[in-house]
Amino acid sequence: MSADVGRRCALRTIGSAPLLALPGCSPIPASRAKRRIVVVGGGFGGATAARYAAMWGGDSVDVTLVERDDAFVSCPLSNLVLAGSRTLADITVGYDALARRGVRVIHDSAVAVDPERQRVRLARGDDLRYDRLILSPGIDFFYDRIAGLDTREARERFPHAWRAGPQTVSLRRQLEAMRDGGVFAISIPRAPYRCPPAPYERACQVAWYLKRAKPSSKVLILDGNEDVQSEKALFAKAWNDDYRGIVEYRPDCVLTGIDAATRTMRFEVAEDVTADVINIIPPHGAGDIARSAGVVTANGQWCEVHFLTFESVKVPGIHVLGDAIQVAPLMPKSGHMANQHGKVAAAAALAALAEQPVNASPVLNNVCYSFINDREAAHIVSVHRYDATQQTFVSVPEARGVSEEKSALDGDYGFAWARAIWTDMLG
Amino acid sequence: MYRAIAIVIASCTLGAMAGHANPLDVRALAASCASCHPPAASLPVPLEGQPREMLASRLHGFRDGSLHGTVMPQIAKGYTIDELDALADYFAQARAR
Ligand code: HEC
Repeated sequence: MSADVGRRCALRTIGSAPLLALPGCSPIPASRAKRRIVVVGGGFGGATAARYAAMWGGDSVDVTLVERDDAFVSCPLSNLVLAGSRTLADITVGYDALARRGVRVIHDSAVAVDPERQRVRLARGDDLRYDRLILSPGIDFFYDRIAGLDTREARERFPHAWRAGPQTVSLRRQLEAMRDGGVFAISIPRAPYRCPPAPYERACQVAWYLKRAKPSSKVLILDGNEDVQSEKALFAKAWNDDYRGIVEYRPDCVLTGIDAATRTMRFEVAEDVTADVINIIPPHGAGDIARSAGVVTANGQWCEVHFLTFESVKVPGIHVLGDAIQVAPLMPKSGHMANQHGKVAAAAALAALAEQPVNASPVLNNVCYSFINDREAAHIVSVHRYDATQQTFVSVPEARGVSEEKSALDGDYGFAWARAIWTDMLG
Repeated sequence: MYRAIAIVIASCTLGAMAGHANPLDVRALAASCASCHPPAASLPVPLEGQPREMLASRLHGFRDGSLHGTVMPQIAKGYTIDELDALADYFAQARAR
């Protein structure tokens, strides 16, 4: 793009009223009718996409965000709520600031997408028409793969707490009510699942609580995978040193059924396990609305996208991001990554509307902080660059890193990261 | 408070200054940093309005290993020197008010 565009933007910016919708740089003729971007899902991916589309699109676009919940509750840090060192209020952020930034926020459920007529159907409100649709649907669970989880009662009794909110609170209540000497079991689905280190962080957090409140109790990690999926050395050290005698890890435990009456878990191969509190994270895939849009293309589970734009490989005009996508190699399903997707998708949607080329070499970064106790954490970090030949993101080897050990500094930065990214998406 | 104005101005004028073909690409790069460094965040540090030379030397230092940190040494190694220089320009221009 030439310096000309730059000059014009700068002038228009200076001339406009402060903090009102800014024109950004997209050279869309002022005369053209406003184009509509609809974003479904106000989590890390969707809220970010909506905010950046409004910020960068300025008054050339109408941005609408459809989100079923009244407030955002963060999955990162929710394990600390489970442990009791943080409250749900600490990890809850409202959508009002987003609304003040020019995003129309509609609290409703998107129940269907009609890609032909470019409409989103809502549970309560009128259909929404879109020119570009950004789906950030998060995950929904395959409950039918675990015998005994077919009723609502069973799902409440054995909560996943893998979406932060009411289930986080109910699992916390069960943990508090557990007798000393009890067993808290965590069932992890086969990878890829949402947030690779999070189940192991959860084990640390539950152990941190038990060590103080009920020291004869145990945390049993029943992993559907053959090994720890992230930062193995670090977590193994925490379980051996900090939580010796409390945490036990068992690989190759693919859960197939649960007997509610006896609290017995059954596995493909491993022996049955009986526990006092059972936290089942069922296998999951892209949120249901993605199915309605016809964008679930990988294995009936995830959505394949063109990585330059995050547009569905199947349905043009629909971008998909966050945990719902079929990830590039070594790209984790994390909140930070979804936030990074959201910015690429927002820019790509605006570029498509303006008939401009997209950024040909996007770069994404990722970090996940795992808290080992109430104040010390460890991180895993990576950078992912788009490779035009392979048409996917490639993880840069020298940019990969993990903390050698937990530290209070990483803990401080972990809390700071959460505040920063919540501001970036919702502030 | 998000410093939208400053950032828009910076993103629009940068193209010529950093010699980058498309200022929007620099804006996109900067957005990848904003997840941890949103405008005016107090921790780690605000980047907007910092002297260009300071930003560039920190970023180069993280990249070449002469400067230590928790995550920045890895992150800086994922970006090219040209990209880091463009980012230093960008954030130096995007004055926090
Ligand atoms: C994962 C979070 C994260 C991301 C992403 C990130 N930073 Fe940082 N940044 C930090 C932290 C934490 C520090 C403190 C040094 C450290 O521990 O690595 C820091 C420090 C810095 C500093 C040094 C400031 C000073 O006064 O010493 C600069 C400059 C900087 N970052 C620029 C950037 C740029 C440019 C990007 C985007 C390419 C970026 N950062 C992306 C977390 C991040």
